[in-house]
Amino acid sequence: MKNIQQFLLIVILLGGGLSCKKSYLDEHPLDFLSTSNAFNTEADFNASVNNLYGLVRQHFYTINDFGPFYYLYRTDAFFDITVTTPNMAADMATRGFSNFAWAPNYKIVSEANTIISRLPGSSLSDAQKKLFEARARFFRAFGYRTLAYLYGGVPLILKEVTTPTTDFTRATRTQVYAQAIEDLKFAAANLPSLSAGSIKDGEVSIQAAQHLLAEVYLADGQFQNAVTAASAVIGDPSMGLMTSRFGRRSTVTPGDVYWDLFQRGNQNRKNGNKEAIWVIQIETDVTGGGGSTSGGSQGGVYALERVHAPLVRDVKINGVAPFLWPIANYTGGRGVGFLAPDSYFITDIWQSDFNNDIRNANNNFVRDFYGNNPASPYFGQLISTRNPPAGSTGINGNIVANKADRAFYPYQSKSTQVYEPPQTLVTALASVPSAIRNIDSLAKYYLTAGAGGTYIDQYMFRLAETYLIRAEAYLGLNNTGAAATDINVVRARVNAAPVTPGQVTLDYILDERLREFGVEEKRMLTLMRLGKWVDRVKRLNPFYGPQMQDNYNLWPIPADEIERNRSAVLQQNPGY
Amino acid sequence: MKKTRFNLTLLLIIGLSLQVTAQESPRLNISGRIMDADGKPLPGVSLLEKGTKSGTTTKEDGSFKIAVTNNDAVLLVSLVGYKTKEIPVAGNPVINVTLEIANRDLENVVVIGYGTQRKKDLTGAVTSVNLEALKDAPNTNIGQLLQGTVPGLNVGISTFAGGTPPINIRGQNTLNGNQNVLIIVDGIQYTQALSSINPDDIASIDVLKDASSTAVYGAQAANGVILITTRKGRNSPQPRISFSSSYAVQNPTVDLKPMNLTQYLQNVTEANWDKSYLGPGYTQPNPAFNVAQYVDPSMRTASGTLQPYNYDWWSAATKQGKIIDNHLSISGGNDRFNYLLSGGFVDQAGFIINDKFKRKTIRASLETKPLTWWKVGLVSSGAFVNQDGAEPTIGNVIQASPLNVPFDSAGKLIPSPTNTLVPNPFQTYYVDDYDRNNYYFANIYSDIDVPFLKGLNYRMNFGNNYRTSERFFSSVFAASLQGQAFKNYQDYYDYTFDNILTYKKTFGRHDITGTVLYGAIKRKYNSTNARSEVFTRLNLSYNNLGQGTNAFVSSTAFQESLNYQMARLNYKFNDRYLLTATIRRDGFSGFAENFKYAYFPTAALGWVISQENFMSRVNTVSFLKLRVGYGESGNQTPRYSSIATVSSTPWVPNPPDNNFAFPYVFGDGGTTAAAQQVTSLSNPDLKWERTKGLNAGVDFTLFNNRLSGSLDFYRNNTYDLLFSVNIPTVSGFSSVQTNLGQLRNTGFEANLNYIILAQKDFKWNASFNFWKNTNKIVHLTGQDINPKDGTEDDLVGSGLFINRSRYAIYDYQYNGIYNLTDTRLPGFTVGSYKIVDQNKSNTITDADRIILGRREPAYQMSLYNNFTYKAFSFSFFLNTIQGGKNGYLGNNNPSFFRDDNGIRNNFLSAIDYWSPANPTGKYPRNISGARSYNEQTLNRWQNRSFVRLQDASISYNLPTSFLKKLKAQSVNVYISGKNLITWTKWEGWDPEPVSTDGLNNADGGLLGTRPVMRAFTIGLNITY
Repeated sequence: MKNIQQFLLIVILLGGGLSCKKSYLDEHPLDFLSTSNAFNTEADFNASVNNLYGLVRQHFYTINDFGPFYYLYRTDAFFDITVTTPNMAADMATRGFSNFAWAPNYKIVSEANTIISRLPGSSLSDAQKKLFEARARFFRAFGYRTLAYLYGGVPLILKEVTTPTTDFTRATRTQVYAQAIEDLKFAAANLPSLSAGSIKDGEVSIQAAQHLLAEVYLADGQFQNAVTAASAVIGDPSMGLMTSRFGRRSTVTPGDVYWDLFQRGNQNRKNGNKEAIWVIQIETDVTGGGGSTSGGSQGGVYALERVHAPLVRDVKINGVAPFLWPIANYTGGRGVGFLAPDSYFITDIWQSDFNNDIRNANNNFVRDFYGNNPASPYFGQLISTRNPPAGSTGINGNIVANKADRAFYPYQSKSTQVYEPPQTLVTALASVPSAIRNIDSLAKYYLTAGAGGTYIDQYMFRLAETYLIRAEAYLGLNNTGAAATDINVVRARVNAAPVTPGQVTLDYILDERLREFGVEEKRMLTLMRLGKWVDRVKRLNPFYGPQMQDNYNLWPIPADEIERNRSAVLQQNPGY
Repeated sequence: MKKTRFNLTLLLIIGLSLQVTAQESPRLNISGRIMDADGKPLPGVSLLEKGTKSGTTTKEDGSFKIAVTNNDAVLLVSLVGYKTKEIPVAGNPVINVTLEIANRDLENVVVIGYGTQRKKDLTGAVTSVNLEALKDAPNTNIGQLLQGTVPGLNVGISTFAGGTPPINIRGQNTLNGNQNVLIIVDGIQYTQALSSINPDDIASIDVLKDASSTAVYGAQAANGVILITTRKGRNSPQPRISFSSSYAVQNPTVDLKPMNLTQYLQNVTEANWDKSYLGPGYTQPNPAFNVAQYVDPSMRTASGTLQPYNYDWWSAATKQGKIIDNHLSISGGNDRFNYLLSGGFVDQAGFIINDKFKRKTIRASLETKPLTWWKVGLVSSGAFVNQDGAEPTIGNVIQASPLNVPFDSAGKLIPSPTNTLVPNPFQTYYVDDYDRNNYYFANIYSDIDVPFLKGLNYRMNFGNNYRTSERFFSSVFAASLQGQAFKNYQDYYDYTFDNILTYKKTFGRHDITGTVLYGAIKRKYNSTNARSEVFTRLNLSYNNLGQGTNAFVSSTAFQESLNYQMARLNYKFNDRYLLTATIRRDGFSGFAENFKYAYFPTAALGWVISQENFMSRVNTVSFLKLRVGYGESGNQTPRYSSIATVSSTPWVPNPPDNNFAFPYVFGDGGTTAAAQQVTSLSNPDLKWERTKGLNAGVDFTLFNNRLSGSLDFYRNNTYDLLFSVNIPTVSGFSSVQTNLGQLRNTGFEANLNYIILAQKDFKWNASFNFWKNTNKIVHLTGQDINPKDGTEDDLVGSGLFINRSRYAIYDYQYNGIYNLTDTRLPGFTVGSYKIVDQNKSNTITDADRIILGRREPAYQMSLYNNFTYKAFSFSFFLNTIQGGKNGYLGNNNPSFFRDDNGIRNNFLSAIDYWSPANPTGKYPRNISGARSYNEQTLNRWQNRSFVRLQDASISYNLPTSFLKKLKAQSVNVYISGKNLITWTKWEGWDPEPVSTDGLNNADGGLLGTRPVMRAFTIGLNITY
């Protein structure tokens, strides 16, 4: 009996924790939210909308040093100069580079859909709901228009996908455009105007929606509607092209108003820029700023400088390097020479106004370089891509006038930050090569290996493009006079001679876009929207031209996507 | 119910007392001799009259005399190492007995989970590891120790010092559910790294293989269970002190090196064969070719000649590895208290400099008996692992040219010798790296033999795993040479609380053991990370992160819980018929609300045929048992996988996965606007993955116990496979965790042990294992939509095919390399692979992929031989993995491509690249600067089959005379070798360490970076 008592005592002592609550197996995530509790307050929806901005910037600018530039390589203006022979058949394979835009743009669409689907169940006021819906629909339209330009008709999904779905089918391209138009109309009706005090720099606005709406109207062949939408932007009293010098560096020479547009800090309205419609925000070394100086130049930063500026390090004149590299002056910062202009962009498009168009001034389109290696006889001397000194060699052999060598070609200075690199990317004086350590104008701009990013806000849309969109619309309405007028607004600002109505063709407008935007434009989207990619590249870019196939005007639907969509057939585009 | 049991007990008590009240009668004198099977007399055999206390022992000549109470008396004849016999006297005055050597293996007690069982009573497929066999090998991780030792247990190889190899049992039972074998240490689930266990502390390892055995662990057991029992104190007044020490040296099994200067320049010449040879045939060297013009600019002087360097990067980055291993243990005890204390120290340095592993282990095992029926004990251990220091980036070491040097003339590290973004491989070496993991384990138990009900035992285990990790790092080269430092703290804790009731009863010919379990597990994890970048000075290393300009912080946490009950019945009738029946109920927090719990039932039968009367004349068979079992076990999904995740963790460059959000900053000088992103779909129907397994086996000992072994056949079907199925990205997600389909593993395992010679001075034992597993996907989605062809659709996008192995290889087939004059498909260039155009469409598309084979092996074998001659013993262990036809394939595909990086990279010297002058070259050399997409992604699948002399050892036990001087009980010295010889057709580094999924070829082959080590060890074991 004593044993039993002892036993019971021990059991009670030891087994006290035996009982188990029913909630023992409830699952509580500790370091993340779930859709059931993340869409209630204004702060929740703000976080989701912020993410949309982040996704757009990630895909179009900062993800790495190749993705964003797929919008430029293989166009009529640029080529990948590190490639000896292109292989368009491989690039355009159903698992080739053309997949890069598919999932990221659909992620923009799906996050927008989630916001739209979660609004009704939230605690927001009706006015707030409308505003967030307008924001989300802007981004959804933005995503769909990109997809439709590149791939044609794509699956049209308008609600949050909450269960695994594998039976998507393609809508027609017209249906996708119609949806984008509807979304943008709603956005234009409900977003704030750029002139509103409440709008933050970088936020989308009525003007951004109308600009995009005009573009989608163009794609859909609704020219009159495009004119109306573009006119709403152009006619807004808060908008205007910048025509005289402005901003933080307005006294710097050489310089001009076009140059001012691309200096750090000059993009947002706060600094007096009335031309900007939608500015992608890049802030140096702030979480979410898209401008890390310590993450390297291959991701988390807009790698335009790295990709576009030539690798002047490898220029030799009679065996001696005239350039120390990398220096943040007009030698191109820490460029490594991937995205080179073809001769059409270097020479052809500038011919009529070579000396008067300020977009072709050397401070904007750098053709003339100055030696900066004290050990070279060319120290301080002009070394021009137009007339390279005899004995000049680059990476691809002898340097030929007006022909790109990876080490030496004209580039657009808006890809770099001349004399204004982020301070953390400047080499400590002790580590600067001794030859230039005492030359202030070089030593202070000698960059580190992590340089190569472009730490400047980027225009997604600016008013000059709205003019050219409207010109395109007028051309579609056979009103070449009005088209010429719009083009000439853009040309007048840069001191280029006016175009006559008789000269206005679609190709002329595409040339003008190239002159005005260059590396700034997502050129591939424009060419694909117009179905002009194959034609223009065949004619104007001898590097890729011979390999272009007619069916390339629609990119292939990614083969993986077709395989994953196992419950229905996702039709492939013709020729793939 | 209660009443019935009481009545049953009462009945039993009456039955037992009846037996005891047998009649007394006059004494009878008996004499005789006891001999062994060879007819030699056995001295010291104990004889006891059953049911009494009267007994005797045999003399030197094996003879005995004993007086028994009556003619019906039974003699119990026993001797250690021999089978105990019961001899009925039956009135005989002279009785001669032959004793058979006991098959200790059969008598041994095997750990089966929440209890133990004699091996001969097992009904499931349970194998004990022969730890003696490989104790002399330099294995710092118990994973290595298990390699090849148990049929059905597949253990890979790790190429990191102290690393844990991949382990699976009976093939892959899941698509992408948890693939880890469940490890139980002293009854408690061990959630720590296997590298934290000192192999010297282990007393036994048992492996549960079939579902009828593993089902006691229910939902976590589908991948098999390894039960580790650590050494305990023992009841001996004289403390036992044991010390062991060993020293090993290690070098790669394959002596590969990057090309030296001559080879490198030759390679540059060949890489420019269009210039270095004369067209059109490109086989005659071009005398005008000057290689200096074609090396990377960084390898030329200003005047255009080659740099005067010939730097040996490989030698600078590697050195002979070593392992120092010391271990001391003290144990002892008495009736009421026993103890074991041990400590160990391992210092391992791998072949690549700074691949280091240092481990200190301590262990205390204490048990006391406060009451005669109550035991309380503690098993505790601590392991302190130090992996400070970081390696040079070995891939970059191989690629570094001998014409570049790592340091400038002032001795400073050159950040990038090629002036590119390719870093100096030693950037990752010259860092301040502090990497410590401390592991703590404690199981407190209480074990009560319930005093008022004989046979009833209550055991409570309260097991605790606790781990802290500290990883501190600083590097002046990181963050784009601007300096980076971070501190990362992690802690993990779990407890297991098990309550086990066991009731054992024997009545008549019935033997019953009943077990009931109630338990719960809770796991918690936290990590905090603080990182700073951009330092003007890093002289305070990671200890003052405030010196950095850009600061980042992050933290993560999780918790999960399990709750389970189990009941098991073991029943034995007449020592012949065995039954095991189990049911387990399991709950796990990670499953969707409606699927929190599941039941896992099993049943198994055994029939000891050798006990049957009709077998008594079959002398060749000493033991024969048939067993068959059927059961279900489960596999759980990772926690939180049924929830639609909304992440708010900011994205950073080069993320490991996509679970991030993208915050933004509005306006110049603005602050971070936080973001959130939906990163996964919810799946409210997510549930357990179930494996239903049938196992049939036979255990036998033949020829007077000389040959023993077991054969097992099994078929495991896994249903509701947890799979992250790829879905169209248009939904915003690329995959979703789901349950689908059916997977089947069918296999055969054989284990044979043969005592070949058992003479007085010379003994020779051999054991042989063979195992084979065939994996097949039976069902996937059950849909026939795309294409609609009357057969169930494959999941091509996920690489899964009906009626094929889970690791089928669906890929392009190659057929040689395009020579200069070959007609090429569009997009292909000279020197690239000829991909077979299966559908003759004249282009290579997805449709040209076919099933080429599979990644898992066809069968595996191992052979262990042990020879003992007097005090010497010699053993060796051979292990092989064979692919058969199209099996065990791994990707080994070095290919040269003349692009921006290809022209400056170095390669391993053994690669036979194609060129016009070497038209039979095995690997492609493409100098066009362009290649087809298919070619870029082509894998070259090659057979990895190998035979390996994995271990060999010679040991010597010092003679007794010498021991007396040392006052030691035994002293043993040995030398051993590991991975001594490998026979294989695989080229490059060792074939085995290719990761289990076979996709990642970062380890083996010619592209790989990490060799497998061959080791030689000298060691000493002393016991006092």
